[in-house]
Amino acid sequence: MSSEGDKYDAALDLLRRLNPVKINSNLQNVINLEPTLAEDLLSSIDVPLKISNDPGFSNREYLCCDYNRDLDSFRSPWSNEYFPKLSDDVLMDSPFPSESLRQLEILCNDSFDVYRDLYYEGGVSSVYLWDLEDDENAEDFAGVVLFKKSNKSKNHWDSVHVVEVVSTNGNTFQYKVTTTIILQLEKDDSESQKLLRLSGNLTRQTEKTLSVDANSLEQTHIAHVTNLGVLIEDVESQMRNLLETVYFEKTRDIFHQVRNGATIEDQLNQTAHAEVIKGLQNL
Amino acid sequence: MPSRRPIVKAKTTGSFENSNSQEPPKIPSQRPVRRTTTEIIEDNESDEDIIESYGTEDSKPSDVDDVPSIPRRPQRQGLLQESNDINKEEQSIAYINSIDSESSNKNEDTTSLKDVIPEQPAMPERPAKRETSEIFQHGSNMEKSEKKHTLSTTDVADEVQESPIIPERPMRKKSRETLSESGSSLNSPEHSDAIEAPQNVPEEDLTAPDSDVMTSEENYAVQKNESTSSNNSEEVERKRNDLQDESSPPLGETSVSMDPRDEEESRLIKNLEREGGQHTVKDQGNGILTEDQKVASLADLAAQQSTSLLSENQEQTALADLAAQKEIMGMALNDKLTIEPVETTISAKLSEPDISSPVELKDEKETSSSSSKEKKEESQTPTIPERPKKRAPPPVPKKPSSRIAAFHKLLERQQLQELNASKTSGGTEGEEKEDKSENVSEAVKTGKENSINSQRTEFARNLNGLFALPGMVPMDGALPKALGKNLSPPSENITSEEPVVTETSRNEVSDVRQRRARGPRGRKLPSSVSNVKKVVAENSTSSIEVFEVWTISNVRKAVAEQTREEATSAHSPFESEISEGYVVEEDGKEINTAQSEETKVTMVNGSPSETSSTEELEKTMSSDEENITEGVNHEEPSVTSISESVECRDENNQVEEAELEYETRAEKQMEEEILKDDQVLSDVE
Repeated sequence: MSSEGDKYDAALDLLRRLNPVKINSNLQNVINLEPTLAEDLLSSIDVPLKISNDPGFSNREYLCCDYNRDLDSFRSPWSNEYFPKLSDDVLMDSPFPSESLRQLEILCNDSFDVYRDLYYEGGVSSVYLWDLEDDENAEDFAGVVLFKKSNKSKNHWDSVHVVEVVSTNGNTFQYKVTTTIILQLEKDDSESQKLLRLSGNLTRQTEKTLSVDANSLEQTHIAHVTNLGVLIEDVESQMRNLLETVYFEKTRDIFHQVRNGATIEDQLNQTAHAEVIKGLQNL
Repeated sequence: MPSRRPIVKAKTTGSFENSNSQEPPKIPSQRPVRRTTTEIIEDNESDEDIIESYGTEDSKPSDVDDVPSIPRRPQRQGLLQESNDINKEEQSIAYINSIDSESSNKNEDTTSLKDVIPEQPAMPERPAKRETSEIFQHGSNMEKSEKKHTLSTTDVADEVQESPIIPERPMRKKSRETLSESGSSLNSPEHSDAIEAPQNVPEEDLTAPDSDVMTSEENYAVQKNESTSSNNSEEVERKRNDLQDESSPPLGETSVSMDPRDEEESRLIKNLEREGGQHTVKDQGNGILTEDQKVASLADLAAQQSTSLLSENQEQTALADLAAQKEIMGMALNDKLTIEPVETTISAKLSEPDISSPVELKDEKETSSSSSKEKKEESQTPTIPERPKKRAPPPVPKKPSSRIAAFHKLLERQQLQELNASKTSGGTEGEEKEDKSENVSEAVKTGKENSINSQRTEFARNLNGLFALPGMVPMDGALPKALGKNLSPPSENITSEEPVVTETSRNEVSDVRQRRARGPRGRKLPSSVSNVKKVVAENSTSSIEVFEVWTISNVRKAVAEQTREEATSAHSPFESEISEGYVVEEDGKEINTAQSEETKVTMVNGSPSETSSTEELEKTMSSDEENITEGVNHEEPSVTSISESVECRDENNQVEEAELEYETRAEKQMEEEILKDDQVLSDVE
């Protein structure tokens, strides 16, 4: 526990095992325990996204996360301004994407807004891009693609795709996507005072090396958007299926183990199938 | 048989009733006649087939598939075996006559049937189709083959010229539908029995509504002939004469009154009668003359055929009359043989095969009658390829539940994959890959022989990951194939504008600790976090030390006295008195030293230490003297426990004595004080 890395790992292990519904408070407590880990934990621990309105863009909604935050303000992808407004002194040091990257960010926001409309049929999406710190090549960049859909209740789906695009060889880029899906389902029956809650998060990483046509900046941007869109679409669909087929099904199995609601016929069918499978395995 | 006859009777009687109200009582007698004719026709298997092919292909060349009668062949072969040879001969004769009539209509040489065969036109059969359609319209549940049989007979007889009525194709389709519906019962013997009934119907229907009277009368006549044939020969002759008298007038009436179309129809009917008459000839052989004469007269009335045809017919009738039955049989066989190639050639022509095949068949048929049947089969081979199409669909296997079916499919796939992987050598079987199922079955057959053991093991091993059961964890951390396929990224199919150079998608569960892209530089922490100060835990200065607090040793008073005495006197009975000493440990544990022991054990913080030297004992004794008062052991309460002190007290009577002394002193003092007080009080008083 002496080194900083061990503390960081311990904090991640701890937060992974704590109640995901209270991830904000738990994260704050861990940071209070070890403030030096605050920056790393804030950038690596995904919390449910917040929705803010952009007063500079007709109060259009945008999503807030650690990647578009500075102090207590969040940058809007629509107006490229921080809200609440920051002072000029602070704003001088606040992060903004470069001009070309801002163009790509606008394009990505428009594109993923269409994606969001198609797949989520509602919700909010935001894309934030930034230049990498140790950037030898100006073409490298990173970003985050956010989706959130929630209704008035506490149920929500949050997708956080952290993207890192690094030029490997000329026109080829390596896309590294770290996807986190935060899902919370809650059914509160106030009359019977019964609360059913199902929540959790799932994180996966995907890497792909794709080629980009670098004839012009606009084509490069379009290629980046295309590649990112395809990648995120795949990953998100895959993870959704994973949630549905593995986790929900496993939860369902557990639920049925706790209280078996199957009828006698179903049980007989299950036993018959089990016998068939057993016989086949004995072949 | 008997169950279906009434139905057919009703139909036929109905038709007859419509035609002629006076005839119905005679209908029963007519029916056997027709039945016999049809039976005769049915008995000849080859003829029937030929006629069918002729009629169908002629009417509708495009419908090559319309050979519905093929499945019935075995039945008819059975009938053929069962039927008398005489019937065959006579029927063949009838066909010869009919073919001759056709050939005569075409003004061709009918001397040799071989010459006629290729020249027979296929077109004039449409009326026959119309008849079939009409037959089906009447609602009879005939099979198509039977209908065609009747058609063919009529066509071969005289209907070649009756083409004005174009067959209605929709009706034909309808007949096909009925056929297909009844196709399952084609092979049943009941069905073959039922054939008889419909054959009556088409013959009746063949006659146009105008000629219904004719048909009824003529049929009646033919039936009468047959009935006579069943009787004695004399009666037969008498009735034959009667029949001639009866049949001739209506024929004449109809021929006079009818239109040309009616005449043709009447001719057709005559041919039918002629067939019936020849059938009677087969049966009896006596009434042939009348029938033949009748036929001849009918042929004369038609007056459209050539004289050569008439002469040939007459010659044939004469031959039939004069020749013995054996000769007739021989003729019939030869004629049959000749007819068969004709039909085959017709069918071949219509189906556009090579011409060589019929020629060869003809040559073969001329050789011998014994091999005729085999050659007949060979000649029918061109139609054999059509059989599979017309075969009834195989019995549908019982459908298992959908899950089991899906499971079987899965197994098949699995087997196929495994066999394809291991079947590199057996590539010959892979040539036929029209159907997957067939391939699977073949592959399974071959594969079982080759590597069934290894496949079993592999198969069983592969099954472990295939089926997901509740509570089952994927083996080796990998997802099942189906699930992995479902979850696999579909991006492989996506063709982006830019070609993908390399694609290394990792679906592995990545380490969460692996750093992802950090946020933009220059960000400042939020106020809630930035103001946090780390709480440092200060180390406490207090320390714990353990040390000896006290030790106590309790020694008897006698020992102390003895020590005193020793001190006074040089005599020292030290050893014996030490034995009564007690050393009390700090924790109250008593250690009783043996009386004879010279050593004394002292416990210091639980660790015993022996002091064997007498000097130490003296020191301790001397130290104890300070604590011991006269007659009383002063025990430090903190050192000795209460129990030990009590024991010591009990053991020492001195203590008790001392206590008694204290008590007595106290009592005395009390008494003195009381006395003093009394004195004072008394003084005061």
